Amino acid sequence: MEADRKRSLRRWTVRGSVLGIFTLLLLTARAALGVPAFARKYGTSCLTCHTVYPKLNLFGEAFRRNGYRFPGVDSDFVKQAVVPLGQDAYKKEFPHAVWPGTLPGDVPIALGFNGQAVFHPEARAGGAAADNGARVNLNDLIGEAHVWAGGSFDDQITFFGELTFADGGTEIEHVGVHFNDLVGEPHVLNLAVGKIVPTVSTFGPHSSYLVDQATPPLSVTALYGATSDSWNVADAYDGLEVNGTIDGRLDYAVGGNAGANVEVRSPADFYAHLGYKLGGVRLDGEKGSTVPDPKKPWAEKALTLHAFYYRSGSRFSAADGAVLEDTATTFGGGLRAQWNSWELDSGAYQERHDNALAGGGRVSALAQYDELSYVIYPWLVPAVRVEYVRLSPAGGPAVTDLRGFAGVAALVRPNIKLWLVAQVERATGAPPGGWGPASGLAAPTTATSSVGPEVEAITLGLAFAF
Amino acid sequence: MGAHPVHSVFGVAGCAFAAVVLTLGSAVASAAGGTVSGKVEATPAKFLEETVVYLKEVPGSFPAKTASLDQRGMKFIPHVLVVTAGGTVDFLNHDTVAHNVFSPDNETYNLGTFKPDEKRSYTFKTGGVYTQLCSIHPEMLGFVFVGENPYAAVVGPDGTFAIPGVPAGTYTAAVWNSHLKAADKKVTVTEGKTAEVSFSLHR
Repeated sequence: MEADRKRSLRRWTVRGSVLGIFTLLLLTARAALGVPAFARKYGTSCLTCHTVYPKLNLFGEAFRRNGYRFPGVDSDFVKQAVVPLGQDAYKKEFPHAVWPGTLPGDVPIALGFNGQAVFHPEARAGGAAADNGARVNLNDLIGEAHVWAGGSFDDQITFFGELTFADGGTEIEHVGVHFNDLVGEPHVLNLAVGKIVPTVSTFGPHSSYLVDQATPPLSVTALYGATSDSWNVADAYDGLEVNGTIDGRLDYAVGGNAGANVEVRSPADFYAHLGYKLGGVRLDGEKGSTVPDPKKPWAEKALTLHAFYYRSGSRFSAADGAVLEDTATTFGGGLRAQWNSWELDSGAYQERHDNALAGGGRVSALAQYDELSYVIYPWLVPAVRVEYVRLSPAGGPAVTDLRGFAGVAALVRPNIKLWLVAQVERATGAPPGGWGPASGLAAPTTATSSVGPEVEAITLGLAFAF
Repeated sequence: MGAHPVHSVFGVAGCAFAAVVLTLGSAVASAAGGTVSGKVEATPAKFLEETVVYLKEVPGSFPAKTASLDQRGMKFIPHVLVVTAGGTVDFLNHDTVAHNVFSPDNETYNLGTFKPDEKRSYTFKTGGVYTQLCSIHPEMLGFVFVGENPYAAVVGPDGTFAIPGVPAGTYTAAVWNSHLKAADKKVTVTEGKTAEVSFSLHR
């Protein structure tokens, strides 16, 4: 039994080196930027929807929630030339004519690039080790390129997607068609179809000034070496989602998707989300809902509570050829407390896997995050963030990883961004694959030892989009 | 005019607007009466080109006239044409491609396919707004505003309009727009003078 365990640990260690590379890719990924395709469509500034992008301000959140549409009648605000594919009067001819739509007059495409210079102040820290001991890493100064497509087919149907190009290849980050206002009052019932990011929060998935994903991804089956194609709550998957906003205060989402399966199987992933906002502007931005100070479109006094449930079934082949099936059941929740220009985003989720170990076995995982930010100027936002992960495998030691981030995000121009972020980390033990798939850099040598706190990296990032 | 759907929602105009102020009826009564003029503001402004200001329930009988609506460069020119009920519109085709003219509104008509330089006509019996479509080119859009009287004018690109030759009296001034609306207003016309009335269009 002990020999099996050691063999299993060795296997995990080998996979760990592969996953270490994966770790770096995750850490260097700041996929989300602003979307100039929308700026061009409406002839408006990035600042209409963002503070320091990709963080959305209150209007931007409403725009996203409304299926990438302005409040009211979306086409009223479109300044870009539109090619009518049939005039509205053709609706009277249906079904003897095709229901009319529109085409953006210009190709609704935007480009963006981002990357960072990384400094490792502690040569012996995990961050420096991940960069082969280099104290300064300029290899990813331009680490990624992005192509976004965003626009509308008419006042109800919109589209939004993103391709990312990086050293690892090209990936469809997400792309979806949004059928909005299907019945009843505006925004009550919408349908999104495509490779979409599941709605597990009332706020956008990139609601952070310091990291890429506000809800930290936790790829448990990857952490334990079972598969590199690991499901997590934050990733986009092929599926559909029904969502909406009721009375401007309550938002919901119910969705199903194919999840992360190496082999085709019947869709088995299901999730649901519910959120409620107390005070402040409406979640849908309708009915003249405006911020108290128009010079501070991010500022209000409000509290939003949200929760989600996610059940995912994954099927993957283990290294020995055996096919494993893992079911993850996740409960989570969070809050956003806003006091003028101060904002606190907190959340946590508990994930239980019935078969996440490489050789099979249960794992319970906890992920928690808090981010406090303050908008000093519209172009300057300092923030601090804490992320905590705890993994408890059946029959193995529980391990934890605590990460702290402190930094500032700044706009040089509305579409040029810099950020400076220091990451400190402490880990007690580590899963066999290292903390990489959980975005950690600390590298305890055994599952029971600990390291840190240590300064893993100081990152100076650059992003621009046009 | 009150019975017809003057605020029907039509498509967004894809065609450029021939910015002219038409004042049908001016030939009939320009020598007498007063003028109703003013300005229309629209939010959003891009729909302003599809706006007609008209007077309701003006007594009298009005002779039928003939106007023309051209198809040139795959656009209806003018974009908005005003005629009086009983009037005839000659639909022209000065393109080098075939066109069709039909309207799904009110009386509904389909003039079929006509070749370059061919003319087909239609006489409007009923007042209302008739969307002009071409089944061969679904992006083409125009409007024929058929008034109960000749006292109507398409607003110019700056929103101004003028309806000359209006008999002295008090009338209801109304406005039609393809997407927007505004409340009617009373206007009193004095012989030889200009009465001002303005509108602010919104959703």
